[in-house]
Amino acid sequence: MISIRGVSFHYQNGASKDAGPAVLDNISAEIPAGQFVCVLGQSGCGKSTLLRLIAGLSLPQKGTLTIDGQAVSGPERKCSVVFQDYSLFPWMTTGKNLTLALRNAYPEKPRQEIRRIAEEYLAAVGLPEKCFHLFPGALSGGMRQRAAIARVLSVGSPLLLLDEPFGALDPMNRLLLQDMLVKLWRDGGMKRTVIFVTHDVEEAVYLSQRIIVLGSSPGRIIADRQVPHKIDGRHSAGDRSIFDLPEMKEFQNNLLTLYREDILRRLESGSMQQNGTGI
Amino acid sequence: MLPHVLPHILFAFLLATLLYPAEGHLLPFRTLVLSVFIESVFIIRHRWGANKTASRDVASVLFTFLFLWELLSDRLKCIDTMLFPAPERIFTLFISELPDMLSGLGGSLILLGSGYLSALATAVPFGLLVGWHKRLFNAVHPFAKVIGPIPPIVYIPYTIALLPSFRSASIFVIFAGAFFPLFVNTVNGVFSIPPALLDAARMLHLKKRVFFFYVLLPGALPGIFTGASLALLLSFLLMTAAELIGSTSGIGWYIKNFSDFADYERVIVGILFISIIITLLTWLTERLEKFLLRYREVNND
Repeated sequence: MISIRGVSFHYQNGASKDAGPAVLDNISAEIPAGQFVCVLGQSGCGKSTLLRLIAGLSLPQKGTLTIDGQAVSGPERKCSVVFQDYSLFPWMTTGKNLTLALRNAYPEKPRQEIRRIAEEYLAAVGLPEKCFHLFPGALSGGMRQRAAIARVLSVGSPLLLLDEPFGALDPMNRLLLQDMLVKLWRDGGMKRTVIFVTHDVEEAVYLSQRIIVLGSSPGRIIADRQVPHKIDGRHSAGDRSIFDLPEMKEFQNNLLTLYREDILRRLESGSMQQNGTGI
Repeated sequence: MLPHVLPHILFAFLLATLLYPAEGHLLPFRTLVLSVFIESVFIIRHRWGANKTASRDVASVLFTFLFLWELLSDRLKCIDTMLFPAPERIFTLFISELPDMLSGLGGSLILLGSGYLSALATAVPFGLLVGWHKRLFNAVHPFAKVIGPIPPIVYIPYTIALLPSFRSASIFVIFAGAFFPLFVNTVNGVFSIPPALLDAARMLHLKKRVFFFYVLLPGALPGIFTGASLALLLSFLLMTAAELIGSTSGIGWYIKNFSDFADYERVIVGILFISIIITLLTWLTERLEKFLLRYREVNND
């Protein structure tokens, strides 16, 4: 259970210690354990910052953020993060990237066991065996993101934070990885909470049970909706027919309208700022 | 078509000059062997090498240089052969002096190695720490900025007075000279690690030791290598300078000694020898860099 109460954040303006413009303003949300949530918003709306706050990579100036009742005060042990790029260390092989994280998470396990687990997870995300010995640079973007997901799944954190993980992929790979992610989340032995940041409405609707829409400058919640037609809150992976249902169409159009209004409002106010890490 | 045969034409000119009979003139055997060697390496590289234009250009420059050298010194005798001896003279002397120079080299390399390696062993860990801890960086940065640009050569007379022996003084000077390029570039290497990668590392909650050896060190390695090759050149320079000033052996002393006797043939031979050694050391560093940073060559984005 993650609870965010009245959280605000702004970047410090260098040495002057003046408060920069607010990135996030008075964000409140409760995310129960096991939920798949998408945070939807345009570039620079602070959605990546929100993720960083939950992960404990940055701390909010105002408000409280707790995970299972404990305040987040530094890089959070219960969280694993996948970024759009730069998640894997380019100087070690893909396999070594996994075994390093695994050895650190399970220091008591013998080497062979660690290696077996790493191979298992690489297979689970659909990577061929030979990838174990390849440097991440030798993999395609899609394969790299699969490996990054394998790494966060393998260390067994209950909370996965994904920051536009499929943002740099071509459309086909994007669909394949979306299916893979939903399948792994649904069928995994562990009940994981997933917070997935994206700017793609369709991706958010397809993946998640709940969508939090962030408006921009400053970042604030403009909508918080349950996604309809998720059986038992979950849907079967690979089934994109949900988009044909009239109720779903309406839901999606609704979100798109909200989203478009926010973009237009921001364009009119002329305050396009590119200080986010996501694109 | 001309550019393709130009090196061969130049080679032919060189051969003709070398073989042209003259009174009291012996066949310049070693220069001939060297020229033929260059031509064969060129032919091999031109056929199978990757960069054909470059190998043609390099061969052309080499042949022109040897041709002019032979022509001006030994044939037309229009330059002072005491300061510019004929190529054959230099190559003959190089071979006969090789044992002497090699025996001096051992001592020189021990000096170089002790100074350089101790700089490597201190500057890199210290640079990693300073690059990672912001507060430490802010504290150290002003001092590094002031001390770093002092040319290490100025320490030589002082350290010779300060330290008990010539050896310890030159080792210290080499150390001081190699330290700063290594340190500064290690710090820059840490700064050049993509922040998202460091965030990813922080979220893995790695133990301190693991983080240093598996994230910070390899992440800063491109910077460390920039510093290492700079430091290598600088410490080689300082080693020779120190030997010129206070040694009684070693390759720097060799040049100084014969220059005192106005034996410029041996001075040139010594310079040639030094250039071969430093090229070899640089080449080894580059091979090591290529191997350790091989992951950068596999990018298929």
